Amino acid sequence: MRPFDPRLLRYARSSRGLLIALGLLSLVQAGLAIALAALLALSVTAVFEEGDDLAQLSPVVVALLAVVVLRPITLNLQESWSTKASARVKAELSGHVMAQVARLGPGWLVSARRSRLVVLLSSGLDALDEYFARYLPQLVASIVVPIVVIVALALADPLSALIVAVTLPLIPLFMVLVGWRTQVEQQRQWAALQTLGGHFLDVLRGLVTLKIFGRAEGQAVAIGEVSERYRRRTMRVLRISFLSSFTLELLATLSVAIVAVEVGLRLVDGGLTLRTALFVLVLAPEAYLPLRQVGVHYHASQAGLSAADEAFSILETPAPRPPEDTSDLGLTTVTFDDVTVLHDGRVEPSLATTFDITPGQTVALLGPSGGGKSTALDCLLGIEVPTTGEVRAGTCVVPASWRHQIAWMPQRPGFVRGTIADNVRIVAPAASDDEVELALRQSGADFVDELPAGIDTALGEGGAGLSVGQRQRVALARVFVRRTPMAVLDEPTAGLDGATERAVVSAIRTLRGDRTVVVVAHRPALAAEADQTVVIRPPRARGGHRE
Amino acid sequence: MSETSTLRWLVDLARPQQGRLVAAAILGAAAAAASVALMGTAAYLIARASQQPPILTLTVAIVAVRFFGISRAVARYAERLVGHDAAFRVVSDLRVAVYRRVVPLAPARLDDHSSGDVLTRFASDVDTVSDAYLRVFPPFAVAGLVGTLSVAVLAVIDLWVGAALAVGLIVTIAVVPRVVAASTTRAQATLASLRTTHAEQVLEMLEVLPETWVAGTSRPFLDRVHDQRRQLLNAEVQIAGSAGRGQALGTLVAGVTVVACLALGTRSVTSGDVDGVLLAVLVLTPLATFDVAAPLPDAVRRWGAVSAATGRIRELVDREWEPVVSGAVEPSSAAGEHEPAHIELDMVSVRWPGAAEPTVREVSVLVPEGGRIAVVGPSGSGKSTLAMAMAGFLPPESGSVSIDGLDAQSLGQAEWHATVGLLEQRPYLFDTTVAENLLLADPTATRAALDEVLRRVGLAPWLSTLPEGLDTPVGEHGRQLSGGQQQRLGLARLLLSAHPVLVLDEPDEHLDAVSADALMADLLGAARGRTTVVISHRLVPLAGVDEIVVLDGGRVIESGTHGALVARGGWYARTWMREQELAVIAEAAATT
Repeated sequence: MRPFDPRLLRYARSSRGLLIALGLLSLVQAGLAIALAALLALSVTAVFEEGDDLAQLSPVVVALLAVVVLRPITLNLQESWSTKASARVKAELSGHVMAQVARLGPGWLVSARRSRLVVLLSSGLDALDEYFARYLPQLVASIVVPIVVIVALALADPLSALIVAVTLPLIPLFMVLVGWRTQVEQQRQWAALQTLGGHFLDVLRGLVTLKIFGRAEGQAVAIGEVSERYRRRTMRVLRISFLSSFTLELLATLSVAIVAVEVGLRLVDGGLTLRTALFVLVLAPEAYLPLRQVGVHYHASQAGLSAADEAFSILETPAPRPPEDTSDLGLTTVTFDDVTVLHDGRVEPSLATTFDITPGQTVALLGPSGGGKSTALDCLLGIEVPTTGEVRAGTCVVPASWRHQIAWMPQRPGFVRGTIADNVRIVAPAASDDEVELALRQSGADFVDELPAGIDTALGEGGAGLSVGQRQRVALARVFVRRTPMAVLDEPTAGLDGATERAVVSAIRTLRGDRTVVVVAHRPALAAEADQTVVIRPPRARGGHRE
Repeated sequence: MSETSTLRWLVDLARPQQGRLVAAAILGAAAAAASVALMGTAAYLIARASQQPPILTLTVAIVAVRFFGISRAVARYAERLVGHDAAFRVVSDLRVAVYRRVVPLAPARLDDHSSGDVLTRFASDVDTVSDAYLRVFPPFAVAGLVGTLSVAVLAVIDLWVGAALAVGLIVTIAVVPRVVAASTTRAQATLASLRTTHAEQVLEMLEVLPETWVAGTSRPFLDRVHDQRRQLLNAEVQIAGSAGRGQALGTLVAGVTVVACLALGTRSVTSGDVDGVLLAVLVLTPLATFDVAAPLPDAVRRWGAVSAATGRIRELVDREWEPVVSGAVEPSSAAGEHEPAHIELDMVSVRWPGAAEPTVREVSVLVPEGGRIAVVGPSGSGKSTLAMAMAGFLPPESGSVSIDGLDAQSLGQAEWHATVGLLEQRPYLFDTTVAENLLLADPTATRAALDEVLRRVGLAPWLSTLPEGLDTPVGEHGRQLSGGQQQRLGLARLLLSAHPVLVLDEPDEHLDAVSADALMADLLGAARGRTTVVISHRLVPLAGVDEIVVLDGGRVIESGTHGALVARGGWYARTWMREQELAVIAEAAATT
C-alpha cells in the first residue's frame, strides 16, 4: 500500500494544513539537531584541545540547554497538531461516509456491508490516529530532515555528506524490494493464514455442536495443532518481512560506522579538524532516524490507511439517481413488467415476475421462501433496481419520490433506545402524541394503554422490554402514522402466536380501508384479506417447487 | 485485579517459553547495546585519531566500530524472530487453556454474559495478550539491561558521569511512563465512554436506516450521530498532545542528562582525573543510550489493553464455575451403535441461568423407544428450552429427566450428549468442507456413506450441482448455503451419528409453508427408527407422529394424537384449521 493516499487531501480538508505545518516543524527539528551536533562538537573540542574549563564553557552549555528544551517542545507540538488533525479528519470522513450511506440506501447496505460499516465508523477510523500522530510526521520528516542534514554535512565535510547521500536512498530501495517479496509470500499464505487465524473462534462458536457429537474434548488438541501450524506459517512470512527492517537497520548503522572510520582515518592524516569530525559523527545518525521511525510505525499506520481506503471506496460508489416524477400512487396502477433481479455472484435470478397493483386494492404475495417476495417489495421501494424488465407507473420507471409515498413494514423492523413514541416517530418525526396514540390503537397495540408510562415507556436496545408480538405491532403503528397512499408489509405476522396474529390481521383490515396494500403473506389469515393474490416462485423452479 | 497479580499471571503463563523469551530479551539488549557501543567506540576512535597516533594503535577501535555497525541489525533481526515465535507459542497454550475452561460452560453459562459477542471477544483478547511478550515486556527489559551496562562502563571512566546517567535513565524508564499513564488515564476513560455512545448511535442509525430511507426521515438520526462525533472530536482535540507528552518529557530528560554529563566530564578533564580523549565518549555514549527509552511510552500505552484483556481471560479461566451438568465431558465408551432408548421427563421445570422465572414448568413427557413425539405451541411457549433440557444443555431446576430409566444427571454430561442428539434451530456449520462437517459425527464414515446420508435428507440434487462435491467449502457460518440447506446438512450430520434419541428444534423455522412441510416430512422420514422429539411451529406435517404435546406459557396445555386433539377443539384444533385454510388459498392462488 502507498505511504500516503492523496484522496485524504481531497476528502479531508483538515489534512492539508497539517502537511505544511509538519514540513515546517521538521525544518525546525533538523535545525535543532544541527545546532546540538555543532554545540557538542564545539564544547568537546574546546575542553580536549584547548583545555577550556567549565566556566569558559558556560555560554556553550547555556546554548545547549536551550536546544535541549526546544527539542521536546517541537516534538509535543508535532504530536498535538497531528492528533488534532486526525480527530478532524476522522469526523470529516465519518460525516461524508454517513451522508453517502444515506444516499446509497438500504439496497447497498446489505448485512455483510453493514457490519463492516459499523466497525469502520466506530473503531475502524480511529486507526487513523496512529497514522497521523506517529507515521505521517515521520514520513514528512524523512523527506525534509535528510536533505537539511546532508546540506549541513556537505558544508562541513563533503566526503561524509557524499557517503550519507549515497547510502540513504538505498534504504527505501531495499525496503521496496523486500516489501514486494514479502507481499508475494503473504499472498501465497493469505488464505491459509485467514482460515487458521479464524479457527479458534470457529471452534468456540460451534462448541454446542461439538458437544453433541462428543468431539469437544478432542478439539483442545486440534486447537493446539492449528495454533502450531499458524505459528509456523506466520513465522515463514515474518522471516521475510522482518528483512525489510533488517536492511534498514543494517544500512543505517553500517553507514554511521563507515562515516566514523573514514573520518577517523582522515583525522590521522591531519586532513580534518576534531570539531568537524565530532559534528559529522553526531549529526550523521540524524539523517537516518526519521526513516527508521517510518519503518517502526509502518505496520500500525497501514490499519489507518486501509480504514481510510474503505471510506474512500464507499464515497466513490456511484449513488443511483432515480428519475423524478410526481405521479400519485393513490391513483396510478403500478406494473411489474417481466421484472428479474440477478444478485451479484449468483447464477440464478432471485426474482422473475409480472403483475399489476391497482390503486385501492390489497395484493397478497405468496410463494415459497427464497422465491423473491421480499426482492419484489425492494424493487417497488426502489431499494433494488431490476436487472431486466421494469417497475413502472404508466410510463415512468420507479422514481425516487415514490418511496416517500409508501409506508413500509420490513421483515425485521428496526428499533432505537427511547420511548415507544420515539420508536413510532422514526418514520414521522413531526407526529403529535395524539397521532402516535391513534396509530398504536389502529395497529392493535392496545397493550400500550395498560403500561403505566403509556407511549412514554422506555425501550432497551433492539426494542427490549417488548415481546416479539408487541414489537411487531409497534412497527405496524409506523405504517398507520404515515398517511401514505400505499402500505407495503413484509410478513407482518411471522413468528406470532394465534392471538397476536389475529390482532395484526384485524389491524391490516383497518388499513385496507383507504390505501393500496401490498402484503407478503405466509399465513392463511393474512392471505384471506387480499383482493388479489400473486404467487412468486423461485425463477428456476417454475412449475413446481420440489425436485 | 491488581497490576502485580496481572503481571505475575502473565509471567507464569509464559513459564514454558521462558528460555525463548529470555533469549529474545538478551538479543534485543545486544542490539541496543551495539548501537550505544557504536557511538562510544566511534567517539573514542575520533578523539584518539585527532592526536594523530600511528595508525596501528587505532586498529582495535576501527574493528570494534565496524563490528557494532553490523551486529546491531543482526541481533535485532534474531530478537524479533525469537520473540514472535515465543509469543505465538504462549498464545497457543493459552488458547487451549481457555478452550478447556469454556467447554463445560457452553451454552447456558456463556449466554450469561449479556453484552455483545462474548466469544469473539475471548478470541481477540487471547491475541491481545501476545502483545505483552512482544511490545510491553521486552522494551523494559532491554532498557534496563542496556542502561545498566552503559552506566557501568561510564562509571569506570568517571563515577560522577555514570551517576548522572543512572539518574537520567531511572527517571525516563521508571518515572516518566508512570506520570504519563496517570495523566492520560482519565482523559482516555472520558474518550472511551464518548466512543461507546457514538458507536451505539451509529448502530441505531444503521438499524433504522432502511425504514427512514424509505420514509425520508434519516436526517435526525444522521444529525444525532454527527453531534456525538463533534463531541468526540472536541474531547480528542482537548487531550491531543497528552499522549506525546511522555516522549517529549523523555527527550527533555535525555537532553539535560547529556548536558550534565558534558559539564561533569569537563570538570574531571580540567582537574586531570580523566584523560581528555575520553570526554567525547562520556558525552556521546549517554546520547545514544537514551534511544532505548524511545519505545517505552508505546509499551505503557499497550499495557492498558493487555491488562484489560488479561483480566477478562482470568475471570473466565480462574473463576470457579458450577458446571451445567457435572461429570466427564467425553463419553466413557467409544461411540458405537447405541441401543434404542426411551426418554422420560417427570415434572421438569427449567430456568435459564440468571432468569427470574422458569421458562418450562412441571412438564412430564414420555417418549418410548423408537417413538415419535411432537412439541408445538405459540412462540415463546418454552419449546426450545424444553429441547435444550432434553439434550442435557440445561439442568432441570426440579423434576427429573431419565434415559432408559436412569436419572440422566447421574449419567454425566458426556453420556447424556452421547445418547440424546440435538438439531439446533440453526445448526452450526464449521468453516470447512461439506465432508469435514459430516465427518465430525462419524470420522470413520466412507464417501459412499456421506453421499447416502445427504440423499436421505434431500440434498442429493444440490450436491450434484457442486463442481467440488463433498469437498465444497461451506464458508464461515455455512454462509455459502441457504437456510434450508444448512438445516438439511445439520440433520445429515446428526443422522450420521449414533445418537439413539434425536431432538429436532424447529427445523422449519424461517421457511415458508411448502418448504417447511417438505423439509419436515424429509426429516421425519430420515429419522425413522430412532426415538424422535420434534419441535415445530407448523402442524400439517405432524399428522404421522405418535403423540403431540402442546405447550403454552411453559406448561403442557393439551396432548394426545392428532385425531384426539382435533376432536378436543382446543388450541391445536384452531391452529390446525387455520393452516388448512392457507393450504386451500395457496393452492387456489397457484392454479390461477
